[in-house]
Amino acid sequence: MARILLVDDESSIVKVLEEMLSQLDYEIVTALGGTEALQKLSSDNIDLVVTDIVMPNMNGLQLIEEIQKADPGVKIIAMSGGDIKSGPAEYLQTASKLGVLGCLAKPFTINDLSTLAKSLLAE
Amino acid sequence: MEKKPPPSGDALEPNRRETVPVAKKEQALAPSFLQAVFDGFPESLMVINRDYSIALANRAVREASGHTDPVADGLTCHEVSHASASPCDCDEKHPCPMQQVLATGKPVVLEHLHYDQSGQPIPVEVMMAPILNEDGEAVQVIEFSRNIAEQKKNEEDLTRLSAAINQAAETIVITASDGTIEYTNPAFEAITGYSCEEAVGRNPRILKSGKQDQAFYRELWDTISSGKTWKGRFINRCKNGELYVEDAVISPVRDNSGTIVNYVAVKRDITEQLHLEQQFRQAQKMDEMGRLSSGIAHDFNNILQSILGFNELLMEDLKDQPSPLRKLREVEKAAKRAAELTQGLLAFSREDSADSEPLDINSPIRETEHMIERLIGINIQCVLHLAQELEKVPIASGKIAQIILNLAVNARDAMPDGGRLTFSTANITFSAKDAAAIPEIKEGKFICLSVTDTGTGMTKAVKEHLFEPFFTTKAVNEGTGLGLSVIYGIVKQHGGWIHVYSEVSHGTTIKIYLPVHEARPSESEPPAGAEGRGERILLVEDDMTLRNLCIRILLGEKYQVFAAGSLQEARSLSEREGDRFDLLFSDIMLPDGSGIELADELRRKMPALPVVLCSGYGDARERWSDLPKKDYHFMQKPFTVTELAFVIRQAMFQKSPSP
Repeated sequence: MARILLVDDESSIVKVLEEMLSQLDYEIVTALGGTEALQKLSSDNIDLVVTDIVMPNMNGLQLIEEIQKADPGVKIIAMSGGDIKSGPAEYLQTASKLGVLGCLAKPFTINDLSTLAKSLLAE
Repeated sequence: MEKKPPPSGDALEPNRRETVPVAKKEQALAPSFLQAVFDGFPESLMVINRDYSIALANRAVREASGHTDPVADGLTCHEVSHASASPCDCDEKHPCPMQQVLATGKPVVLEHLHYDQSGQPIPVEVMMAPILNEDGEAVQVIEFSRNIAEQKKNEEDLTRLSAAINQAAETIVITASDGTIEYTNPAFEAITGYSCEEAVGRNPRILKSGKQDQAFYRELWDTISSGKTWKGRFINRCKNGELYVEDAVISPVRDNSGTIVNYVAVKRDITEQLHLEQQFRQAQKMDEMGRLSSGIAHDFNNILQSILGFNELLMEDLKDQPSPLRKLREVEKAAKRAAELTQGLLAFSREDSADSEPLDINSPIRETEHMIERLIGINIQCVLHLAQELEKVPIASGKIAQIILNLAVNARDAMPDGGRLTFSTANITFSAKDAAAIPEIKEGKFICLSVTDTGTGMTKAVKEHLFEPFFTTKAVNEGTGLGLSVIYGIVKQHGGWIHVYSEVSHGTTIKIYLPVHEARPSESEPPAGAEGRGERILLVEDDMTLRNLCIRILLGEKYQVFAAGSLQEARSLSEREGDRFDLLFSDIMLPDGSGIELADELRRKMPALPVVLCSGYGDARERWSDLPKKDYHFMQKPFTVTELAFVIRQAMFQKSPSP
């Protein structure tokens, strides 16, 4: 069973995503910030990280960079309540350069997330 | 030093070694007496022989030169006054007075340079007169010299002060204690249009604009007449009618007895500065709102994610229970509406650059025409004036559709009793001159999409907040207040800007300027019309900023401008000037009537008067269809410097062939 790490500083978001993905037979690990996420990444065998971008202390882009250093094979989905689909061009370029494979603009549906997760995990 | 022989002839020479009697010996003065008279004189006094040797020197000379007895020592004038062994090497500016007197036999008064013992120059005023012998020959000279170093310094100080006042950018006005103008500096003329000659003898109320009440002037006078300095801001009126804002400091000037004899006003024109500040504040406000909206949207989307996510999970759990499921679908619908709102906020604050293919925006306008007609209903007529060969702009077709549908909805709501909605497009090029003259516009090639309604229009206060997110004049639940914010975001994102023209009860024109594909600044200025030759133009425009701009443009084109801000002012001005104008250039929508009405009136008095009318409305040909019949030229705002100059020249030229 694939193991997904959910990272968001909003606990309600973590909870709802956990519920969404657990219905799809994934094993879910959660973290409320970048530092916790990196600890879980090293201790658990993570296949996919779904991370928020705008977070205090360590933001999503910094986290993605650290994940790529620690484990370049991990697939990453970035999500944001900001303008992720057509936000600042540099922002998306940075995320893309860092190896993000998918982006989700909040609010998204179970279907949006599951489709993207399935396709990435199937690769 | 070799002593030269004394000149022959009788002369006053109280030299102790070779005393020569004066013309009549019985009248000769005792040398000691003469010396005493000389010594009693406070300034330098010398009698000098033709060979420059000193025959007599007073105390002042001895003290100034440091020579205790220059006569006994056989010193010359150049040794005493110039610390030089040879006669002065005089130039044109400082000729040797001795040589002049001996050459002409006449007294001279001139400025000269003496030198002290250390070689430092001392400016002096020299008065020198010949002492004649019986044959009328100048055998000696008497020299009176006065140190004018202090006087020269004062003169230099005055010259410097005068130059500073003359060259100051600030207006300086000096009045008598009753307020009558006694002096104005050149900056006063440059700013007000009144020359010093015109202003002197008049009262500063020639600049009165009516924008300050009596209490304002009373407080000013109370302050300065009580001996205090007044600081404040005026809105004043130039000679040509233009209003300007100036910061002023007015101080009383007292004489030695402490009586106020003058007032001096130092004033700085801050009209342009205020305008730029206002623009800057507006831009800053919109930027701050962008950041705020972006932050709010981000937080809202997070909250909505939880609501929609859990709602979705609940719907899955309760999929077999129709009643709670129905209610959850309502929650979902409401949350999705909220999500659409946050998308609107994000569109307002979006900063990404456009990367769409170049588009002829006439296409999406034509494609959405049917949709617009359905949207606005049968009471509103939809008119399209689309330019042929419109330049392309890099924008997605959907964005244009979004813009025109949003504007159409607003226009419909502004015309509850029906009306006309006009869409027009045009190519437009702004030169560097236009960009410099008209705030907010940029240099280059643009397309202009203009949307005009004949609805209720809006107040100035509404216009100021028009593009702010959630600003709406509509009733609760009738509008989100995001439509125009989204348009603002799209236009800004594509490097364009929006111009709004609106008058209450008359409608609104919104013009959107978008840079054409790979727009570059035009390489050469569009050909300008010939300049004016001092023709008299009556300018009527109620918008102060625009009026000032037109005045500057027309003055730059060498016309004489007489400006008014309303029909009433224009009528008074015309009467004052004896109805002598070469052209009327007027806004149509004036606070107290129509520019057309004014044009009709003036034409009755001046049948050949060329008339140029302007308005911000984009549907002039429908709105004022009889202008061509009356031979009135029309120009749509905003216009470029070149357009204005061209239309004015064209109107003047067409007048010429008429009898």
